[in-house]
Amino acid sequence: MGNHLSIENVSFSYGKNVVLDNISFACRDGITALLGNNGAGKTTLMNLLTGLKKPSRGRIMLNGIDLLKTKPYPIDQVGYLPQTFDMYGNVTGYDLLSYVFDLKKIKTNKKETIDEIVERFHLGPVIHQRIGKYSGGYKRRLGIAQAVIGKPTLLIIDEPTAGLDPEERAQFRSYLSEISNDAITLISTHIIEDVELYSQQIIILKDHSIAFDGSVAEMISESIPYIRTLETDFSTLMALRKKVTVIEEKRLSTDRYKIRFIKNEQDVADSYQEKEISLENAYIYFQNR
Amino acid sequence: MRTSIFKTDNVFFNHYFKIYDIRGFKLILTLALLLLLFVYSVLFPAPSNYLISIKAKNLLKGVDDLYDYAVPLLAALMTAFAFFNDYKNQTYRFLAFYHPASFNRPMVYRWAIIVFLFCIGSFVSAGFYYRNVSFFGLIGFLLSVRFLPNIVFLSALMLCIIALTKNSYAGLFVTLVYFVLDLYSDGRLFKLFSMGANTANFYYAISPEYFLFNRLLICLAAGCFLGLACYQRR
Repeated sequence: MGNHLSIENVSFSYGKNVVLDNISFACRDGITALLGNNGAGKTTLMNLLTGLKKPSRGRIMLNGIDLLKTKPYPIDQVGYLPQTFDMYGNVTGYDLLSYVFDLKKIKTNKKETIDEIVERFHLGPVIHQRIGKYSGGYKRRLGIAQAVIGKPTLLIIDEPTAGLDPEERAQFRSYLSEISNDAITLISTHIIEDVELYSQQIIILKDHSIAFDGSVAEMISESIPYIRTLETDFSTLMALRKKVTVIEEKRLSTDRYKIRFIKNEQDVADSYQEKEISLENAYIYFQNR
Repeated sequence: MRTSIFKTDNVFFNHYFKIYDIRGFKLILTLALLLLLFVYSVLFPAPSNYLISIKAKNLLKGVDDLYDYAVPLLAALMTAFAFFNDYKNQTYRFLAFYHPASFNRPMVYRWAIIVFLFCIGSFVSAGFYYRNVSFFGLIGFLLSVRFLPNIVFLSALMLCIIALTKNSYAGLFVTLVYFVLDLYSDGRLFKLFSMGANTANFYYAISPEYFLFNRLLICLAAGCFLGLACYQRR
């Protein structure tokens, strides 16, 4: 059957400033990527899901339980990794995991559970060191380790691979794929490449509402008809920039460019529709349409 | 529900020296400061004509400002030190997630541990400081206990500003501005909300009621500051 999260007609404002306006979507086990430009409301939505903020209206249901009405907020069912995960630098990784284990009131054997988590996320070499000495990669691993203690049904992860080098990003992606098998994993990110590799579902926030909700394939197929390609020279490119939204430029030779742009009412001569576009192209289309 | 709350509190206390005060460094620092205060109070006691001096409506600068101002400032600085890392790297967000109740009790406990130690230390040291006036009598008790609201007030103000602005430097700035203005205006600027009720000799220079009302208001303000700091706005 699996787990089910539904966000129903959720709105949030700071005074008169609307941040989220009547947001609704649902997700199941697996990775759901939350995309959106800065200020689109991603972090606010994450804060609502983690109970750090309360919406002005709407409800958030996790497996039939209203998260907003459950007192206290069920930290045993939700794992959270904030973007800036920086616990006090002089706390050891083991002490942090032990604290989180006790706060979540987990019933299993504490030492066995922590040892298993440490092994799973390859934290052995550093687990008894102070967190202040950890590299960026180890810090993120410890962050995800504390989030998955107690096997929560909902994982909320803010910018999981930001600041990691390519190798660490690849490893972190594999951790995320593994943990999302039996948990709803909601990830907020700016890194489109990661989204393409691991997400089953994509949600794009734009102007305080949802601009897209679907799979990677659906996002690309919906965008393809509106994205045109053209090979042109520099002067034409400069003129075109004033008429259309150019979303990709590739220099072919000294005065030859291959560009992609979002189609508008006026068609551009010699432009054509390609069979394949990148997810980044599709994302920019949804942000600009 | 109530059992659950106390269980969470037990978790906090069980992990206090592994998460919030590693190896008791803050505790040791606090005790060291209080030991210095005690030694100073033993070596340099208040003059034996203290009671005559206050009845003559004199300002008590150089006598009472140690406990009126210096000790509360140390308590407030320890509070800032204890909470500094919460707001340096947004650790407070992580902690708020794991302490989801609308009133942040771990924050109260962390503050209360510091304030409690300073209150005890101040009370005991002041007993020795005023030993030439009265030692272990009712007057000695009253002379020592009258400074405690200042410790509670200034450290609660520090905590409140830090928690509301999510910035330790803002807490330091506001608290130090209040402190300096109050100290150099001899309590005339903030009047009923002044910490200098003893140094400025409100009891005799103005009236006993004014003095008591000042002490009461200082305590009430501290309670409000604490409530504002620890109530988690969601």
